This record gives sequence, C-alpha cells and structure tokens, in this order.
Amino acid sequence: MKIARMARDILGARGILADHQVIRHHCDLEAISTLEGTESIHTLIIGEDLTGISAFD
Amino acid sequence: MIDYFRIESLLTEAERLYRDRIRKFVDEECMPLIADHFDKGTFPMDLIRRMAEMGLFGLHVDGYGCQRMSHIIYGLICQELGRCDSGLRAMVSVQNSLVMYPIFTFGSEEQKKRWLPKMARGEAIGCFGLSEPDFGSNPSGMATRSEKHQEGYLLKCKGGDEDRPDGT
Repeated sequence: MKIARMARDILGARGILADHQVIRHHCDLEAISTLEGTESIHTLIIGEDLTGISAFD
Repeated sequence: MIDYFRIESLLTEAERLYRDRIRKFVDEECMPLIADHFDKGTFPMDLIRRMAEMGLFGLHVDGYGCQRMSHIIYGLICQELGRCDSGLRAMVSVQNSLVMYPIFTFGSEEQKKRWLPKMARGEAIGCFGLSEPDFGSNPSGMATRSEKHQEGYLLKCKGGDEDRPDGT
C-alpha cells in the first residue's frame, strides 16, 4: 500500500488515471485488508483466543 | 524486469521459460485490454479461452484433460497474471485451487469426468461462495445449501453475500 501510494503520488494528478496502472493495483491492495475477513476483525478473534475475552458480546 | 523477490537464481531453466511464456502472454494480450475493463467494471471473457489454451486451468489435476504443474510454476503464473491485474490472477487461482482441486480430490468419478475436462478448456467457470454473515470466511461453518431447481441449482443463502471473487 505504501509503495502504491507513493507511485500514485509521483504521477501527480495522472496517478488516478487508469492509463498508468497504479490506481488499479492501489484499489486491489486496499481490498486485501477487507476480503477473507477484515484485518481488524481477525485481530479481535485472535485476541479472544489468546485472552479468553471476547470483543463481540 | 526487476527481480523483486530475488528468486531468479533459484528457478530452473524450465521454470524461467514457462514464466517468460506467461509474461509474454500478459504483456501482449492482457495489458492492452485491462485499463478499459477496469473503467467499465467488466472482465475480459475472451482471455479465459486463451488461458485454457495455454494450459492454465487444472494445474493441480492429473488426467481429465489437465496437465499438472509444480507449485512453483503455479506461483509464477499467479505472479505474472497479478502483475497485470489481481482479477486475472483470481480467475486462475479460484478455478484451479478452489474449484478444480476440490473436485479432483473429493469429487466422485462422475463429477470429475463431468466437470474437469470442461473446466480445463475454460468452458465452465468455477465459483466458490465463502462469506456469510455468521461465519465470515469459515467454509466449515457455512449454512448455504444448493437445491436442484428446474435445469440448474438454487443457492439458498442464510444471509447476504459480501465477498466472492468469482461472485455466485
């Protein structure tokens, strides 16, 4: 994500045009922290397993 | 191309050749199309036939019209497709790992004969429904069931679906 953001920034306003590819990858990378269960929800599930304290009740 | 993971020297000549063949396909046939599809929110369906011709479906399957490949080759294929677009990579990885492999490993002989050759040719496209409100991405807890319905199947979902790369 950090690299994609930097690459987008280097391209200036053109960084958000599909012609330059980087915005597509940026969007795909953003999805990674949500699909298969969001990153934060996974953290809470692992937290419950480790501590026995549920964040969901 | 930059060797981002410094794996070039670890690959065999055959692996490099295979990877380069996929790279050429991606550069020549996928890259020119992808920005337009991204803008329109569509998938380049014609590429599915080309992927099948290149033997990209059935990489974990012996027989049934498939050519099994090593996990390294599979990874290289996904890496090259993903360089162009994650959706192209998902098309290949869902078809191979989430649909063809389970049918090959757990399916009946009848199911294997019916589906695997067709999927290898790209004439049938596999889907994998994963997320449900109560079970997130935990397939063993899934409550969705399929029922025979006229000429196809009706998927009975307990709730909505959120997250299916090859959306059912």
